[in-house]
Amino acid sequence: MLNFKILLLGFIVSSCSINHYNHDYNHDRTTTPVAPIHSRPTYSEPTYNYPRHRPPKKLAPVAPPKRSNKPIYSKPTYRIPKKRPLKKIAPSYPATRLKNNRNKPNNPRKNTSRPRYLKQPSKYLKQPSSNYVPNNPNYIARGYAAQYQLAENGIKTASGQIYDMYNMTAAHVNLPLMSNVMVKNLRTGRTIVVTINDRLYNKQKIIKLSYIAADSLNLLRNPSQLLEVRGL
Amino acid sequence: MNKIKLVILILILLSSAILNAKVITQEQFINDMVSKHNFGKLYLTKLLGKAKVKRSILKIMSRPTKKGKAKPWYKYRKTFVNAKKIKAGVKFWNNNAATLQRAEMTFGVPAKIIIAIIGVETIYGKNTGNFRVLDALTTLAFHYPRRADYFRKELENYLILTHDEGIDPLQQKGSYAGAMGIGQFMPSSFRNYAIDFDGDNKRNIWTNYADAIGSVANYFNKHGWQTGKPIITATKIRTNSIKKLLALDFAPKYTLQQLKQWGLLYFGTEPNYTNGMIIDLETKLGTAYWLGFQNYYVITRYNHSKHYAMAVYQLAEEIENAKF
Repeated sequence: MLNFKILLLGFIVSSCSINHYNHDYNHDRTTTPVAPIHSRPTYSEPTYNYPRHRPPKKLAPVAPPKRSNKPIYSKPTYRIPKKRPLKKIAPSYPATRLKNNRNKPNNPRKNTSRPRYLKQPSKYLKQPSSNYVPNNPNYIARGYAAQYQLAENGIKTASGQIYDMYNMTAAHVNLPLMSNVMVKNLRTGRTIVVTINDRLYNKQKIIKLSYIAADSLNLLRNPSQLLEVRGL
Repeated sequence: MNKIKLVILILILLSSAILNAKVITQEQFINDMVSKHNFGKLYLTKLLGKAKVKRSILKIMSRPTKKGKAKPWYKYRKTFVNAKKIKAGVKFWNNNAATLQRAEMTFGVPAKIIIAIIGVETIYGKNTGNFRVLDALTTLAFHYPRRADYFRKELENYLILTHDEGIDPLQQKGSYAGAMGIGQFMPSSFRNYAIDFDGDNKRNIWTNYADAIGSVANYFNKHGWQTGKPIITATKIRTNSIKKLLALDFAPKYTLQQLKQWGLLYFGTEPNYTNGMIIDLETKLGTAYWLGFQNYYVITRYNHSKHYAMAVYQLAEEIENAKF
């Protein structure tokens, strides 16, 4: 019995090995035999090359310029442009924050000859035709806010305006400058509208609020309150 | 002991005599008015006899107000720059848009500043004071020796202006210090700066909003308002030069170049030759510093207080933002 069992086991094992041999995936070993290691080709440079490895192109020899019969000193071909009256350019951004209502048709301020509050911008700079305020209505974020410090009162922001603690402004990582956003304190439900005029380099926080903005959301005592920022 | 008591008594009597020597009595005042401006003596004695001495005014004036214990800025701001005032200011702007624009065009003073002044002074004309002006001025001129000279002049001006305008001096009402009308003009400033902006040949600053707006704008224009120039900006100051800069006079005497040499850190675009003054305000985080220009100084001519001028500026900005 024991011998018989051993025979059976041996048969099974042998059959398995036979099967394994039959189902070897490398059928065409005979057709494409792998070359022995010692006869393999040595390392060659890859076909692709980074531009810096590329050898300098051999330039074709440049033929000397043909001499023309024209006189060397001729009149310039370009025309001198006529002097045009300069366009009146609207100031890019007003000194204070804006809302989109300024462009509404019934706005009495739109075409009045009120005294200018801003310096006339340079005529060489291309300015938008109206008081352009960028909109980003699809932006929503939730998180916590950073705050300006007291010593930052009076410094220059990324937009060029001077930071005043009593202006409703904020700094953001990537929203366009001079765009308005709504900030909501999710704990109390209070909302304010602030203008983004600065850049924020702290990606842990969603926004950096000015003193009066933080004060109106009750963030001075307890700054770790969850906020929601929405683009307008 | 008796000797000491006697000496003290004599001293008190002497001091009271010296004080009494300065005070000009009502009769003397009437005589001066008669000789100076040709007023009728009987008319003046009757008029001033009708005026009452108000104890409540003297109480208000003698309130203990020390310089160090004044309200800090962040508490002061709450009373003048709040949502209620901003909303009412926008409403006021919409109601008087045409006259405000006309004032802006003629005098170069922005409408928002005029509105903010009227809002801070009388809550847009709602609270113009319940004291009779004659009562207030007579009590302060003859029973408040500390500032009697000033209020006597105001009383003199008041009597002249009522005569010129043809109004009853007993009926006009104002604040406890004698400031009258929507813009709270003192009688001397009424005579110098109030105008008729309505075209009816009457300078009615009590009930006529057009005249009040025009006279406020005229007041600023005459005190040297610069159109289109900034009012105030935030600045930084070097910490070791704070004392030196704050000890300067409360007027834009020095140029930005000088101030920068003394420790001002200004990042704005104003040229170096503009004059400026430094203002410190207390916030919840600590004291912060601002740089006021000529226009800020002009606002302080309305009321000689840095807090007042800053409140006017910030209320104006808030109203403008709420409107547009």
